[in-house]
Amino acid sequence: MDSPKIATKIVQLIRQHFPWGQGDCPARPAVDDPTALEKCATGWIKNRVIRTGLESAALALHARIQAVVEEMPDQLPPTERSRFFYRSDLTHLMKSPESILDKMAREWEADKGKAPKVGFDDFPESMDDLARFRIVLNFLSDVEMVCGKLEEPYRVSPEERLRLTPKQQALHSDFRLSDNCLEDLIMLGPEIRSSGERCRKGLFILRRDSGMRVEVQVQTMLQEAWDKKDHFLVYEPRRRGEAIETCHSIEIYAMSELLYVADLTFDRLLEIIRQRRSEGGD
Amino acid sequence: MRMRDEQLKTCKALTWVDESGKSKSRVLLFLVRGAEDIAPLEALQVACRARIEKCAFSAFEWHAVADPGQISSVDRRLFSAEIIRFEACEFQNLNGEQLASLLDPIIDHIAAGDPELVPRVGGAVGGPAEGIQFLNRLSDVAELVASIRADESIFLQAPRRMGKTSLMRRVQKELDGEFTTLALNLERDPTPAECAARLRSIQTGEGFHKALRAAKTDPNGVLTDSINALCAGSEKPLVLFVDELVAVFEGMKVDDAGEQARRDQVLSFLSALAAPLDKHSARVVVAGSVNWQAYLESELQITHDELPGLFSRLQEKIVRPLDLEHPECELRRLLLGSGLVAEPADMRWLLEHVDLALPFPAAKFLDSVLGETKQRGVTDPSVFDGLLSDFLKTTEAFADFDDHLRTKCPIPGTGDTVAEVLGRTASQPFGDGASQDEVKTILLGAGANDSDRLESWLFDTFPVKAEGGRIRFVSRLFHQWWRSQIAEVKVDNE
Repeated sequence: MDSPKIATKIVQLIRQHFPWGQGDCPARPAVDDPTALEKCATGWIKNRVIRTGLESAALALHARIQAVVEEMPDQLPPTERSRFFYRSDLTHLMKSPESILDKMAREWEADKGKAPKVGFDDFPESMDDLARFRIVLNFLSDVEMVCGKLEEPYRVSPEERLRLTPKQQALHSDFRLSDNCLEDLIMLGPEIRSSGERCRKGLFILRRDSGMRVEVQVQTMLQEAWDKKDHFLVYEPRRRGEAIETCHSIEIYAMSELLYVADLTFDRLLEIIRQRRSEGGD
Repeated sequence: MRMRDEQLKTCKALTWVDESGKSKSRVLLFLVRGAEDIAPLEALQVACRARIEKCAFSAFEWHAVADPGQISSVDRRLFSAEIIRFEACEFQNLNGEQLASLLDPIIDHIAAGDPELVPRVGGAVGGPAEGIQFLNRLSDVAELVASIRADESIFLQAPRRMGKTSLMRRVQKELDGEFTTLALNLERDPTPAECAARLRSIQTGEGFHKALRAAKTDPNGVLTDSINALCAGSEKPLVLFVDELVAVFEGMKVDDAGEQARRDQVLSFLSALAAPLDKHSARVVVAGSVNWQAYLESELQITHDELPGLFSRLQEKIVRPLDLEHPECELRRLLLGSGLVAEPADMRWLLEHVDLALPFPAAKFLDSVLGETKQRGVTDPSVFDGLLSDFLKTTEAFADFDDHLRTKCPIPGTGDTVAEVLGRTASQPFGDGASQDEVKTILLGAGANDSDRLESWLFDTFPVKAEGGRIRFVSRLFHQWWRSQIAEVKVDNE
């Protein structure tokens, strides 16, 4: 049984570490009401996030990535161009103040008497996923193809980069890519997999100014479907402090494996059909 | 210069949902291309938020949007919203004040449910500027409205294309509801019978041609009766707006009558107009590029004392060139409305060569820039030099100034003196102008008694102003046009 008392920890974090009355922070409310405390903190976090300009940086990155993704149909055989599909999900482009607080509290080892790992003064610099968006594609091989195109300008030599498309070059010119690749959370062996989350994940860093960071996830529709269900069935209840039955956790994790097999099957069938077409089977 | 790239998808959207359902919901899209857009996108959001907060506007919301085609996924009520696109980079390198000057009116128009948000090149070319196309004569409007409320009748004078008719229409719109307002364009109805028929048609609702048959038998009687009936039928006082009054005096020339008969005809026409207006305490606003009183005096020897009723009491107001508080922003606003995206070098060129002091010629020239940019895709300032040169050679936009100089100078035979002043001013760089002492010396050449009158006519008629001991043009385009008028032909001897 999983039963974190995260709500209590959040209030404790605000009581002890919110910089009441300092700079632009509000003064501590006269009454020590947990709801009022959380409201003060989330309001302040919201304004702080707006002032970072991170959302505009995330939109700039999205525009660059979108331009590369929209070149993808040209990479496909003519008969497949019309089936290429992508969707950008900017719904949660900026992490909500509640989620920021949640993450700060989770990473805080209060019982060991330590200061929060991510504090109110440095959370915009310390959190990698303050701004993030998702590119959703149809087939597993589309995910690999898109990620390949996004990684290419970071992988090749400067001379070779000049031969890439202007859109790939513009992406490289505006943003660095952490580790020069998108982390692979799809092809993870069972021995190291800790959750059912499957995607390719990259951390892009704005070259100019403060080096703002934006997380990008690239995944299939089935991977996204699993993620959305997991968010509702597990993530949110857990955030609220509700207990999740272990048997349910096991089942939800297994669904991720099942959908992965479905993705693999669809990709295999796509390859078979593609092969048959190229051999003049149709 | 290039056209706005409306194919860009990623954007920050400022949405306004009209919950009353009276007007269309709106979506302003600020399209993003890459990292160069981060700073302008941030700055424009700060400016918009400040305006929304200051005016306590509700129903505005910001959204990050990946594809404007799916805007209704942001809010279903935006399904049929009107979408207006800008590129974030169109707002780059502007300070807070400039952004406010550019964006505040847009936010205000959205909140008011106005149909248009920004003026566009070509929007008012060829006709009076109305609605959003009417550029910044708000202090003139306020002054005229106050005068009319104070029971004054007015004569608005300025050369053609200065914006008289547009100003008059705006004033009419402001007064609608508080007064019964009527507009007559005497260039369209240039005889007493046509003028009378127009009023009768408005008053009775009968067709113009039927009214004309009745008016032809007794134009002045129909005129008086129609105005009397219009005033009697309304509880509000009447304000009659008359554009180009001189056209009707010119229209009387075709009758081939002698001078005395024409003189009588003019006076009885004015009396027929003035009597019912005076009787019902109505006001009249007369606009014209020609000073109608000076015209009557020189053509028909009708003196001011002979003028009937309120026509002897008209307050003269000069419509001067626009003196804009933020000329760069006004220019940018016009580019925004036209979908033209200016690179910094384009903007520098435009600010050096064009302003909106005389909106009509400026809009005409920018229209040619728009046409060229649409055709070529991307243009650079070197192309503008050629366009400007062609424009100055062929434009009719300044013809009325020339006509004034040649035929309407208040002191016969002194047109050349004024032309010399304009030539001296044009020969200097735009910002420098000519020394006021030097100008006075030139004007004294027309005679010591007349120089002050001539100077006053110069300022009332041409886009010039005196400042810091210098006489300067207020319109860059007019400066260049006049230069082109006095340029000598270069002869290549080889």
